[in-house]
Amino acid sequence: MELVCRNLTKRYLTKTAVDNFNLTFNDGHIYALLGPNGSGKSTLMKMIAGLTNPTGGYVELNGEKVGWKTKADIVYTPTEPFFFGYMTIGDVADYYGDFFKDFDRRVFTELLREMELGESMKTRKLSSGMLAKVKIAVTMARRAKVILLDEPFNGIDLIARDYISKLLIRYAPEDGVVVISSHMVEEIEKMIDVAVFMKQGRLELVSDVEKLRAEENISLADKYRQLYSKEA
Amino acid sequence: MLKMMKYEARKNRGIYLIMAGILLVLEAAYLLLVHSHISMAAVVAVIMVIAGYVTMFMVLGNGVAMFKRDLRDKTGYMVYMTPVPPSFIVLGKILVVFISGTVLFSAYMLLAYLDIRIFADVYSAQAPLSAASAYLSQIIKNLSGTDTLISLLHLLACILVVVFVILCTAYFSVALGSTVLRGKKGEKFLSFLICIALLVVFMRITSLISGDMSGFNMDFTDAGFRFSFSGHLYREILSYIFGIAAGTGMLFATSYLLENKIDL
Amino acid sequence: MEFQNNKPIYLQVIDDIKSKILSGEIRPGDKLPSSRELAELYEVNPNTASRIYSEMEREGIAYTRRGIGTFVSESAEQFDSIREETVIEETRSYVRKLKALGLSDKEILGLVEAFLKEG
Repeated sequence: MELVCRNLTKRYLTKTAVDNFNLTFNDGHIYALLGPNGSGKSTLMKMIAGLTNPTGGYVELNGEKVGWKTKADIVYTPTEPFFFGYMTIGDVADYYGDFFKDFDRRVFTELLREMELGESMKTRKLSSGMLAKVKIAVTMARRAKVILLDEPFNGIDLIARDYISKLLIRYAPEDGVVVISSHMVEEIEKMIDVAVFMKQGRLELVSDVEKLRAEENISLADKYRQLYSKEA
Repeated sequence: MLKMMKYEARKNRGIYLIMAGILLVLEAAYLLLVHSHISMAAVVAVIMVIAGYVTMFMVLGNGVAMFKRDLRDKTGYMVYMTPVPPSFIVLGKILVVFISGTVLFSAYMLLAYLDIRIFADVYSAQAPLSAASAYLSQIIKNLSGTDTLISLLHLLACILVVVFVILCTAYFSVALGSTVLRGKKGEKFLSFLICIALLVVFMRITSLISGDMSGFNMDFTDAGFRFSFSGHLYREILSYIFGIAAGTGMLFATSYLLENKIDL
Repeated sequence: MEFQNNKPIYLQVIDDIKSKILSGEIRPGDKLPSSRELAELYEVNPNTASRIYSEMEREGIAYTRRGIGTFVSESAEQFDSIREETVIEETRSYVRKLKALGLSDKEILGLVEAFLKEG
C-alpha cells in the first residue's frame, strides 16, 4: 500500500488551506498529523478521502488517483457527529455493511459488547464519549487500508480516550496506514510512529518519534513547542 | 444505487408521513361530511385537489433542500464517503423524490376523484348549495367524455416531464452554489438566477419543437375534457424527449460538479 | 505506565520488563505476550513493540520461535547480567544524585551504613 500526496494544494478565495503538500505514507505505520487550528490538517485529510477536491496537485492510492472508487479502501472519520439523525447504532452498522465490503460486522458487534452499548440505542442521544467510541468501532471494523481520524479525542474523557487508544493499537493494519490528527500531543506520542507537522497549510517537518528521543533527547511535545511557540 | 435510494427514502420519511397523514385526515373529514353537510364536503374535496399539488411541491422542495444541506452540513459525509459514483448518488436522490412525489400526488388525486364520484351519487338527490358544489358538478360532467383517458395521459406525461426538468435543473443549481460559487458574493442569488435562466431556455426550445408557444390546450366542453397540443403528436413526443434529455444533461452536469469540485 | 520524556519509549518498556523479570513477576521460560498484545498492554505503537522484542533478543534476554511466540530466556547467566547491569545503573544514578545535592563521598558512605544498620 502506498499513499502519495504530490504538490497537493487547496486554495480558497480568502486563504490557502493546504500549500504544496508532498508526502508518501508507508504502510505499517501510525502517523500523527500535528499543528494548530487552521494549519490545514482537516482539509488535507478530506482531500485524501476524496471528500474535497484539490485545486492543485493530486493524491494517489497505489497508483490510482483518489476518487469515488478509492473510497472503498479509505475511511475518514470527522470530529463532529455525522450519522443520520434517525439512526440507531444498529442502523449505522447496517449502513456501513451495505456500502463497504471491508466492514466486519463481527468485529463491530464484539466491540459494542466490550463497550457495553446496545444496537437499539439512538445515536442522537449518546454522550460524546459513547459516540466517539461508536465512531471508532465502526471505523476500525472496516478493515480499510487508509484510516483517517480527525481529532478523535476532542472533548472525550480520559477513560474513553485510553480505550480508544487501545482499539487503535489493536486494529491498526499492518498493510495499511492510520493517520490521526490531534491536539493532544502528549497523549498520542506513545501510540504513533511518525509525526507530521503542518504550519499554515505547509508541511513543516516529518519526524520519527523514537529518533527524536534517541537523537535529540526530547519528546514529541517538546518538539511541538519548539516548532510552534511564538518566539520561533 | 438502489441501496442509496433506500436510505434516501428513510431519511425523508418524516415528510412522507406528514403528507399521507394530512390526506387521511382530509379523506376522513370528507366521508363524514358528505352525508351531512354536502357543501362543506365539496370544500374539502377542493382542498384535497389543491393539497395534492402542494404535496408535490413540498416533496420536491424538501428533496432540493436536503440535497443542499448534505453539501454543506456534516451529514453529507455519510452520503459522499461511500464508494458510489456521484452520478448514481444524484440520480438515486432524484428518483426517490420523483417517485415519492408522484405517488403522493396520485394518492391525493385518486381519492379526490373517488370522492367526486361519491359526491355525484349523493348530489343527484339534492339541489346545488354553493359555488364549490357547482364547480364539482361541472367537473363530473366534463370527466365523462371519450377523449378523457387519452387527454389525461397527455396531461400526466406533460406534468412528469416538466417536473423532471425542473427538479434536475434545481439540483444542478444547488450543486453549482455549493461548489463552484461557494463563498463568492451573491452565491444564492446567482445560483437561483442560473436555475431560472436554464428553465426559460428549456421552455423556449420545447415550444419551438412542439410548434406553439401556448402549446397545450385544456378544453372543458359538453363532450368532455380535452387536453392536447395544438401541433402534431410526433412533435409533442419530441418535446418530451427533449425534456428528458435536458434533465439528464443537468444530472450529468451535477455529477461532474460533485466528482470534481466538491468541498465538504 | 508513565513514560519519561527524553529516553526512547522502547528502551523504557524494556527496562520495565527487565525489572519484572528481576522481581520474579516474569520467570525464565515464560511466554511473553504477542507483539500486538504487548503494544496494547503498554499502549505503545505496534512497531515499537516489535522493536522491543528485537532488542531483547539481541541482548539475549528473550528469543522468538516463529509461529509460536516470544519467550523469556531460560539461561541463568542472562539474569545475572541483567541484575548486575541494573544494580550498577541504580548505584550510579543514586551516587550522582547525592553528589548533585552537595554531599561528599564520606557523607554518602555514612548514609548508606546508617541505613543498612537500621535493617
